Amino acid sequence: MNIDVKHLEEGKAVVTIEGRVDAETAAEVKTRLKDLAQYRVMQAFVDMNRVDFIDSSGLSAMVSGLKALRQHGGTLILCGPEPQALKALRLTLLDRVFPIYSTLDEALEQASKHAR
Amino acid sequence: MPVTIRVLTEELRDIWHSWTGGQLYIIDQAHIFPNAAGIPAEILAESNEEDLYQTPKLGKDLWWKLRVRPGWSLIASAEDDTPYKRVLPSWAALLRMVLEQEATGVGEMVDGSILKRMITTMCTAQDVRSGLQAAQAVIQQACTGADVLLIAEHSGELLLLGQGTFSEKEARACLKHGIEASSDLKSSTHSIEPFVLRLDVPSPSRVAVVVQVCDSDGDVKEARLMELCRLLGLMLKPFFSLEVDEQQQRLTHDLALAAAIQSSLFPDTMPIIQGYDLAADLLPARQVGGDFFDVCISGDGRYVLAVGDVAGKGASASILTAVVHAVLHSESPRHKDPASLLETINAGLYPDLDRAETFVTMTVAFLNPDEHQLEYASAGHVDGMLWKAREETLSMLPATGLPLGIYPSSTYAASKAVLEPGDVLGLYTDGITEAEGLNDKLLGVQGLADLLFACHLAPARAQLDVVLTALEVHRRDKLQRDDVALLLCRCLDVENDPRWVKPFVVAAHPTSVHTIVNLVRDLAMEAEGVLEVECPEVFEDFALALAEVIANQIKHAYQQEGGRIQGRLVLDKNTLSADTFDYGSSFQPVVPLGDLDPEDPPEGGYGMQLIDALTDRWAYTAMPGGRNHWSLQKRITGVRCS
Repeated sequence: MNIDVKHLEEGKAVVTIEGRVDAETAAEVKTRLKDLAQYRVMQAFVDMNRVDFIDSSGLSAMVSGLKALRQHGGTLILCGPEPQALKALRLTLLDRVFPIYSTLDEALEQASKHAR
Repeated sequence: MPVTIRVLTEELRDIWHSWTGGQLYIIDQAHIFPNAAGIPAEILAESNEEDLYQTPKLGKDLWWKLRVRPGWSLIASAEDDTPYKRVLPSWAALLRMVLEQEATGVGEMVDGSILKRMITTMCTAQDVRSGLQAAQAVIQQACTGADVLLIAEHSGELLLLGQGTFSEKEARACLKHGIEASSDLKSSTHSIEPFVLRLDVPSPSRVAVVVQVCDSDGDVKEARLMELCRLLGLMLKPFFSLEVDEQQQRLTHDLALAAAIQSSLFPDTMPIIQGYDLAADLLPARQVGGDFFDVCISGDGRYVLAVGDVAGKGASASILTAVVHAVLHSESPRHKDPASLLETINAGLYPDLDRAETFVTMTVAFLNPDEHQLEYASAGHVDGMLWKAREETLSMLPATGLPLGIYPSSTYAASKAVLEPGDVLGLYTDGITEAEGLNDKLLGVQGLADLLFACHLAPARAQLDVVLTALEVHRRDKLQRDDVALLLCRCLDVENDPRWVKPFVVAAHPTSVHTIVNLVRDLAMEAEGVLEVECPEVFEDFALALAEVIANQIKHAYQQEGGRIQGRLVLDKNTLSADTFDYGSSFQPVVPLGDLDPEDPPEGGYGMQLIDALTDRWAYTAMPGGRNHWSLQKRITGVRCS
């Protein structure tokens, strides 16, 4: 698993995750996502396009990240989840919790529209 | 790529001898390329003049030395990760080629006269540097790509000229090592200054090493030559094992030969018995051991399955396994029941065992595959196991007499059992049940029984691999202390055996979750062509559900403290299922209600939800004896089970 954080302008950050987010790797994802709160990130775009497997510990890490951001009014947006991840989100009803976009570009575009 | 060989002639040996006065070998280096096709073992057997042993490891290469016959040797290198088993037959083939080439004179040979010219050139030069340059010219002229190492002494200067695959760094290290080890030279007034010159000769990397040894007045004395020779020997030691280690190496070599002979005594393939599936394996704790298994035929045509243990370990025990093997094979055809077979073997072995102050335990089971009858007798051996598939119970096959070698005449009882479809007979040695794990906890008879219970549906070989892996997981980082032998015989259940069974055992560690996910994916790939309906999603869903169970076992049952998880994955006519077992804390599975507050989602507890949603049935049972059992099922349509 690889995780990379890039801070953009206006309190935005793109978090790119590659590989599998499971019991072995979820702890790191959770730490990195919670760190975003310290930078007062308002919109964290998590690019999941190259996550080939996610389990409940991975989902929990996402929720922890979201909750940390919400403390200062921020949010966490899931971008481009693969069918496996999408199904896991749907079955756990977490698709009602996270804003989900089919691509990162789409999510960024929507965000800038709202800003205007 | 082909194997490249250059052979140096006897002529060089004479030159060598005249220069050093010492007894040195003539060396050729050759590269071995693993022969993927494999070379028949009989070639190795034919080359019975060889003296094969491994020299110390240098850098990333493994160096092999082969003394073809007194007087000259071969050295070859292979990549570090080349399996031993592959290098060995390659060597045998190489040896044969060398011998053939020498006999016929065919092939590229390095002319001894060129080497002679080289040495002469070097030694008539003004100084070592110009000598090397001149020698280089000779090599280039005769550039055959030969790998050679030359050593010459000139005016108190010792000269090593080598071309080979060893690096400059290795040559330097080797040189320093030799000098430091030579305390005699250290205490003398000689100044020794090693340095390394790299020659610019076309490939491969060629290295020349020069050592200057001068005393204060620059004179070269007769006695110095002997010192030089000794130094030479020390320097060369890492490259070519000289007489110093001969005895140790001979022992190592003998042990390796003994291991090869011992393993050749045991069947390397199991007989194919209609309606049965057999597998057996042997893992000595050292190179050779006292455990054994065997298969032969009895006087009334039944299969004799034998597993035994000579008390003690290592070489002494291994010698006796050979004796037992011989007696078992000679006596089996003369006996029609296991009890009288053991009685005869005991009487035959008693004098030897008594003298050696040791004993042997052994179970012999006579299998009649047509009538599915098993008759066994056990000379004080650990209880055999018989898994009864229909009853889902395990019955033990206890000893029916004393170990062999206790009394000159012992009597044995025979006991019978019926093998029904799906039943598994397990004969083993105490190296399995007495394997020590964390806090010296033994795997135990129950531990082995649990493993057989978890994977009894699988082919015998797969079950056996699970048991051997389980031993590694159980031992953690501890060394294997005792020999291990295991023989499994499964009665096939043609009508009901599932199409695919993948047994597994993993350490309760987060990385194992992915191992299990991959196991499900492997199954999906294997089943691909046989599924009438395309349903890759079913496998991915199931992989996630099973991953959740495994993660649960790691995190909750074992509280992250590690342990063993074992089970099986089964794909049958219309069901994909998994059973997995752990020895951790019991669990209260609760599936959260299908409701979630989007404003305050919980930071965990999604696992049970996924397991529930992704399977058609799941069950958790806390079994007696502190074992937990999870089972998952998912219906799958369109599996062709032909």
